[in-house]
Amino acid sequence: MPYLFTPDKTMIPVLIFFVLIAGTPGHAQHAGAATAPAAKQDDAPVPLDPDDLFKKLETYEFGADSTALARINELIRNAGAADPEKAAALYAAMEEAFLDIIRSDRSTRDAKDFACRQLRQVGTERAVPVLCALLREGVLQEAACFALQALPYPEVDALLFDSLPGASVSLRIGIVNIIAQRASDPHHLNRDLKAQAIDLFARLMNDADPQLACSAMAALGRLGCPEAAAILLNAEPGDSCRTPCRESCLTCADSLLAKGFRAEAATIYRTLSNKENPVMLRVAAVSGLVRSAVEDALPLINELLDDNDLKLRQVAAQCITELPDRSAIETIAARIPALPIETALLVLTALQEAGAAEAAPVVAQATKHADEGVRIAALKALGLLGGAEHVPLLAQTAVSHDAEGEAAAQSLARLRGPGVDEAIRDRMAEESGPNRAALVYSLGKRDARRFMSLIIRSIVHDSDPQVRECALLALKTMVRGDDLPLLLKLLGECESPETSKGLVAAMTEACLRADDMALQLDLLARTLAQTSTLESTALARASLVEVLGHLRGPEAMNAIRTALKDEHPWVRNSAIAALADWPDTTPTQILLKLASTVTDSEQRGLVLRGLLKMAELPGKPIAQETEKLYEAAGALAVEAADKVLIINSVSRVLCFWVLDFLEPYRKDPQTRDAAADAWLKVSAALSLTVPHDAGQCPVTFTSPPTFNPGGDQSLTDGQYGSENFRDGKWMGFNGKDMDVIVDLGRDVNVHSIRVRFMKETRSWIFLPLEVRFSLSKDGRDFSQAAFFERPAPDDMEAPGIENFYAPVGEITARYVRVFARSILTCPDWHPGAGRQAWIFIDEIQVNPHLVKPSDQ
Amino acid sequence: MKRKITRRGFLKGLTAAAAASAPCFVMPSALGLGAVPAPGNRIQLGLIGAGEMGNHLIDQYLDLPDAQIVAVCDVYDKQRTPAIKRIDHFYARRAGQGSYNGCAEYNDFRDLISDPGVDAVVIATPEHWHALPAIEAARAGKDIHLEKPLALTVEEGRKVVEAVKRHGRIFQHGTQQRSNWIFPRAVELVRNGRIGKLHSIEIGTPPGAQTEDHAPEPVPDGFDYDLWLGPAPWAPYTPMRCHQSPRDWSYNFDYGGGEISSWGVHHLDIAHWAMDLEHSGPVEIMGDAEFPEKGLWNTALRWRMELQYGNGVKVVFTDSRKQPQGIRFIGTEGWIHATRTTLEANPRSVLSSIILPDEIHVRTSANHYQNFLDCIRSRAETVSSVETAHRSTTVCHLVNICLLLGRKVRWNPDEERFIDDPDADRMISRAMRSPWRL
Repeated sequence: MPYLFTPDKTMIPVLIFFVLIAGTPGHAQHAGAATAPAAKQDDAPVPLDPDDLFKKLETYEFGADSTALARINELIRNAGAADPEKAAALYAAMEEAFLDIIRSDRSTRDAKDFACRQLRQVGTERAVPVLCALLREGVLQEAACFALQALPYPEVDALLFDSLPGASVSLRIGIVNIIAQRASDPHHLNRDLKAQAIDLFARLMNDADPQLACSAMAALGRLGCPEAAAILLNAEPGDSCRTPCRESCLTCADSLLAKGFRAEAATIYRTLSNKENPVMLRVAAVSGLVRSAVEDALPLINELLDDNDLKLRQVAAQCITELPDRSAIETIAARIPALPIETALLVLTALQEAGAAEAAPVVAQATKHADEGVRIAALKALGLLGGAEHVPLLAQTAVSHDAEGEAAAQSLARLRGPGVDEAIRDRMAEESGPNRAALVYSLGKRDARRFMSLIIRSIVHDSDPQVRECALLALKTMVRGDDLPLLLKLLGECESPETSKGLVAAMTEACLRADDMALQLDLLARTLAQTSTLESTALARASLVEVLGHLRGPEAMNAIRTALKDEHPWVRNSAIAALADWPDTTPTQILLKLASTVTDSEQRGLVLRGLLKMAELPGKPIAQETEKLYEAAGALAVEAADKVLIINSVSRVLCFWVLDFLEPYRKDPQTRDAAADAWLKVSAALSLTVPHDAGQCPVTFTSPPTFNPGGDQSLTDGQYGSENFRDGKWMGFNGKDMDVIVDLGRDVNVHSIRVRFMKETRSWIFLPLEVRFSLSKDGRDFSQAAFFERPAPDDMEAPGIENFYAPVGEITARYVRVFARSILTCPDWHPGAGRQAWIFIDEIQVNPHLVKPSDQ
Repeated sequence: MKRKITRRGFLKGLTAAAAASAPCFVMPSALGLGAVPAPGNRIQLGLIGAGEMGNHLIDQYLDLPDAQIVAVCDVYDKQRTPAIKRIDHFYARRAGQGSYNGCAEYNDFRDLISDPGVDAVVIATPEHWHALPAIEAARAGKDIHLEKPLALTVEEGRKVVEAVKRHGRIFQHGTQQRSNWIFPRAVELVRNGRIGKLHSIEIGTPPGAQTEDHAPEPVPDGFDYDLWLGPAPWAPYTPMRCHQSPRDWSYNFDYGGGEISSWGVHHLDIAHWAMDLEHSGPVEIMGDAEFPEKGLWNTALRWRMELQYGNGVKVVFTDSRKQPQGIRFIGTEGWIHATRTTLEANPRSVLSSIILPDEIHVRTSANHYQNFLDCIRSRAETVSSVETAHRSTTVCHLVNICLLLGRKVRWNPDEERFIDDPDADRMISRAMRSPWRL
């Protein structure tokens, strides 16, 4: 056969099109004109020769270059994008080519396998005899079945039947399964197939081979017709086939029910629900029985709720949700008080799932059940099923500090239906203390804004502090941006520090929820500016400053700076607290100035904490400023606790001056230990910072990295990877050692080398077992400069990044070689035991620069 | 005493699984509330599939005091044995004992399912091995946590749904985004009209990947390759096919649907939730994609799909090179964008909106795994039920079918069949390798 792809002359135009639509490898395949982007004009299509592709396919063996196969798949997808007539012609051409592959003696097994798979999509009647012929070839039987199952043509059915005599058991099972699938498809073209299949399966279910017999029974079940059901019900299978036979009856009954044969299905279910059958079969059967006659299911459900078997009681409860008759649900619900606890809980869950509001009175009754679990479940259910009439009950229970109280409070907030909010309001008038507090709180959770005035009245006038507190929380929950004027008015009238605290929280929420926060800030700042500086308004002014502090921004900062000059200490303290908690370094200079002027102990403490916060924030312009901040903080610290706070904070700054800064604290008995720890930490970490002398230098590998998203240069780009190995800065070597040479481009006086490796054993990333640093002047003769060794781990390790750092003296070299010996495969205890392990590296640093104050 | 691996013939297993007496645990009176259950009250779990995801799930369930992993099944001893060691080690430490070896070891999932000590199964196998163990587990009366996506074909998925419903099982799908507060919050905001009338949804997921061709290798000792292949078409063994990390097999259509299924199912599931179309699907699917130029993996690398739903909403589903990772709901009055760690909206005030009691509230869960255990006890529906799982997985299949056909397809979600498209209908199901069957 000279050509695999040998169309007749009428196919030539199709072929030309076939070639034209082929496009470039990996180019977009268009599925639907609406979104198909226009082909790129500047991408010249690479002509494809289908002949060539199919020739390559002919000799394809798994593991060899599969480019031709991918291109053929591409041709199939492209063909689909053509108009239907052309698509059909293209499919036909490809079908013929695939059939030639199968027929050819020269084609490999893998080529034929591939052809079968594609025929599943492009095959027609023409492919049927060729595929059926493969059923006689052992190694390609499965591939042929794979294709034949999908081909909708009646010819397939006939040839499948013909292939059964003399076939192996495995093939006969495969064919039975395929016929069952085809015959049970209501859209299948062959209307006679079902009858033929019933005869065949009825015969095979008595086969001596139990696997085949079971497959035939399953196939009958799948047909789901009365005839198949009758055969299965009358069958007398042996022990090994009894359960599969009953399962098939079940499948059959389900199909019958789905098709509307309720009586027939019910007959089967009734038979299968017999107590002699295994419990799971009974579970399915009674469930089916309920579905086949839901109107009459109440007695059955009631009976099953009393069954000894938990699984049957469970399914009975689940069936409650299917009952269309609400009075039947009420009848079952009424049994709750008398049911065993487990069953009562199941019924309560089912009532919730069914949304059975008519059961609410019984559920309410169950909140008084003797068993705590039932009470909690009932309280939860009441939230979904109850209404306004259940407000008193829930309010009463919501005050208890236990699981019941929590369930009741949640239900009070969820209660649906008309009049619930009004019922809560009315109840509030009758209750006092914790009950009243719970009710007002629930109004907030329910976002009952029409009762906001009631909540505000509670805040201002209620004599009970608990009610006032809950009312403030309710207010905070429900405020919107446009409530700010109202809140400001309230603040103006407020005399209680507790209330003002709640109002600060509410005002902050209102501003954060506004779509335009600038307007809110402006209003706050104006109000602050316009508020008199009288003693009587100090609390309001301090509260406004606090809100501005929470909101931040330049306008807030200006107002807060002004507040620093306020006559009243409350306002000044509030302003300092706002600055101390500022999220960026803006108030640094103000705090430094304050450090030298404040005398009040509270203000000193606030300034100290503010200075530490500023010092810890990133983005400070110069290192000296950080040092100055710590010095200022140190001058403010009197108590030992404050000094330790400073030590802990400064230990995170990796600069040389920190070591000097810590000296006095190391001599102070109160802070000696903390300072010593910090000193060690800083001095150890000081050798961990880029840049370095190998920055951007080229690298070469003995064996290239397996995972290299950032490119070779990422090894010397001076950028550390994060703890996420997919961040583009890490390079991975899978199942092999790493051996890399860095060319420094000139002779360099090398005094230290540092390399960073990741360990994340859960992702199969291990540290190297051995790391060697070598140096060379010529790139050929290397002298070892440092060597590390570590044992293989014997358990999962915490993920992290480890530095391999070595001072190497003073050696002049141009080339630096880093070798890392991999564990190669995951160890025996590891989930990936025996599979290839990874090494991950992000940076090789030569002479990493130690950070000095002047460098920052 | 540790139970041994058993190997047995297909029929014996089938019979044993179906006939096994149902396990029965003592139901704590407080429906999972209150104190930690005593050992006898813990739900006993059997894990099927101890690969990357299986190990992740071990971690999740070890963390929960009312569960105990009592059995592990994997067809590769190099995955199975370390997992069992880890579990035994954990329980020994928890019990304050020097050693513990109570976790049973199985090679064949049918043996694990027929173990009467197992109350519920956690299935974390490749996708071609999702439907059959799930159906078998349902028949045996086990509750099921099945990793996503639900199944390899539309037909398989429907059969899982039928089996779970028929046998009254509790089912949790591995779409754990439903238990991340961000997504139900976004869904409730959308369903309650906070961004006006929803008209489109944009979804971005990670792109696919390409690999080299890999030559066949000998099957390693301890690896039951024939059982690993199971119902999938026969293919020669190469490590990259089965057990290279991460989830290489899902990039091959024989065993998965690529990132379109693997990641796509998460956000498509959320999209269905937000549209209140959890029991339905799109009516028209079209788009374009790029595929690998060669190699073992053959699922889409990059794609842009448009899914039209019957309610008029259009879902644009792409890889994350074309639109940002996450899901964006766009309505007439604003938008909401949700990822696993962020929730943004325009206007901002949408985010602080409270859902009133009489508005739509969706089922919520704070912990996907605890939700499964709680529902096993209460018999309530989980947050990721089987029907919703089937519908969101089906969309992934439809996208892949559309791309393989190279053209637009129309879908009838009620009948679960393509409209006037017999070529597409061919791909709704797939023949299983004998003797496996649905």
